[in-house]
Amino acid sequence: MKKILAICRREAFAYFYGPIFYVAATFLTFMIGFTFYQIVKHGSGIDANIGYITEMGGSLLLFITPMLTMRLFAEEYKQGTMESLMTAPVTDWQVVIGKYLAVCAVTMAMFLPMLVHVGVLYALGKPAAATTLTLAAVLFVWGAFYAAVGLLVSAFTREQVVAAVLGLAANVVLWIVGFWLGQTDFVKRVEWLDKAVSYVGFYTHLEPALRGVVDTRDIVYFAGAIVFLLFATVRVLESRKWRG
Amino acid sequence: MPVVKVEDLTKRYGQIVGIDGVSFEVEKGEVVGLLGPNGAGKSTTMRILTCFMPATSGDAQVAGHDVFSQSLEVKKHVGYLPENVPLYPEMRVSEYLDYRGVLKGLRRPERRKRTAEALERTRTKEVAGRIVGQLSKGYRQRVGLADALLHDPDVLILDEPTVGLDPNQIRETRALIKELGESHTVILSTHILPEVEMVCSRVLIMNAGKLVPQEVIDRYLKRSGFRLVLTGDWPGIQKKLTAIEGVSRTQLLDKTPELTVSVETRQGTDLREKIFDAVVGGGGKVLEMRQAALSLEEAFTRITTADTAAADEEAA
Repeated sequence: MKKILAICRREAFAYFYGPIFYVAATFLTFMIGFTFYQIVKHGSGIDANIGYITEMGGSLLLFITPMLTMRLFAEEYKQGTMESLMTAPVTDWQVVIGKYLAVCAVTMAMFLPMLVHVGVLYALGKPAAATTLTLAAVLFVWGAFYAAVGLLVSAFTREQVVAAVLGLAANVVLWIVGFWLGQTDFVKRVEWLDKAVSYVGFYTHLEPALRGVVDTRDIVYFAGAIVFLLFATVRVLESRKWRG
Repeated sequence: MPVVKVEDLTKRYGQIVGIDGVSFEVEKGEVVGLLGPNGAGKSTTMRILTCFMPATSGDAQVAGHDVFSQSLEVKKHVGYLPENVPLYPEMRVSEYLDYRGVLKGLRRPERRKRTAEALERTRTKEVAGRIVGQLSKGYRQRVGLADALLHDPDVLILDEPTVGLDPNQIRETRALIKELGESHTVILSTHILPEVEMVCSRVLIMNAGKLVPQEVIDRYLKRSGFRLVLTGDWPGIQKKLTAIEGVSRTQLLDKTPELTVSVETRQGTDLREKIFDAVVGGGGKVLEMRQAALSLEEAFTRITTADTAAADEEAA
């Protein structure tokens, strides 16, 4: 556990030494601020809660998470530090979980400025606290899901740019399967296909929670998906060892 | 019981053979030099011993644990300095060592103590607060060494520990390795031959993925030779020289202004008079004769430029 935390800490701090975190956090703050402005200016009858942060933030994470996760393994391969890391008495799982927790924490850290929004909402209105917490949890799960995808992709290559592009591509594919595909007439017409797509696609499992409905099946879906992705990452690390 | 035991170790990268049937043992307290040209398989061997990559076949044990099935135990007993010393450039030296200490399972008070000791031993105390990315090559190398020492491992595996250092640093590092050799088992790789002669108690030579048998190395080292400066007709003199029993090899090194010739002999017999007579008998005159033992460097060049089988034959 101590080793996992040490890896997590090192990894998380490494983000604060580079520009990507700050650029992404600024962009996110600006975009969500702009959304807020639009809602206040044009919106009416919208429930005064943080739903817009979750939806806007989650959508933007599709692009932002690959930028954060691209370095996780690619940089270690390129710098050669993979060799000192993997020859220290740590297991592959400890490395993978440490890195994963770091990127999850950093993703959430980008949303810290949004606390201002929460403050404003609570000062001026009466949002339901349970809903706020649910929406925050949805955002976290959304980010954690993309982070697990990005982590896996980063383990495949020593080029950060390749890792970023692959991560983005994977997220887009998941988005298409999870959101857009379910909306097409072709899929809607075939009942079993419609069911299958809605079961596999991740957005169908996020959407109820966005409306405030928390279903155990959705929790199991995301927990399972993340564990699977982390497991796959460990296997990729192992197979790279064999190839030398 | 040997601390490091390698048996018939083979590593293939697809079709390419990295190392081929390597076997050796290292006893406790030995400082062993792993010598070989680039691409001979030194780093591959070290990476297998440090559990960075598995071997294709064969067995390796470090400190009584199998590198494949008990890799975590092996890693606890090994301090490794990889080639090119990979470090995290954004960290401070003391931060980095503390982080490595946690990974190596040291508790806080012990970690503090051992970090201070490692900084002291590798003379990196003065850069403890500096950022790794700004260090000179020499300091980076020593920080890597400090990391390898951190958990006081039984076995130190150092991949080219003096590459990129200036002469003073090289001397200091060699002294440190020698000192470490008193309390640790050390395997180091290098292609600087005097280094091996100075630091190591034993040498293993690798060539094209294979370990050169110890008898071959010994046979080379047992030979001695002479450097002659002559006048006269070389082919005639050479014929006479090679006819002497005990002369294994003659070679013309230079033709102008006089002939410079090396004559190798098997050790144990004094051939100076016979060589003198042979030169005179071949119609030449001896201007100079100097005895020179075959150095490890010459043996190394001879072994690694010819293929091993031919070298073996030649030595015999």
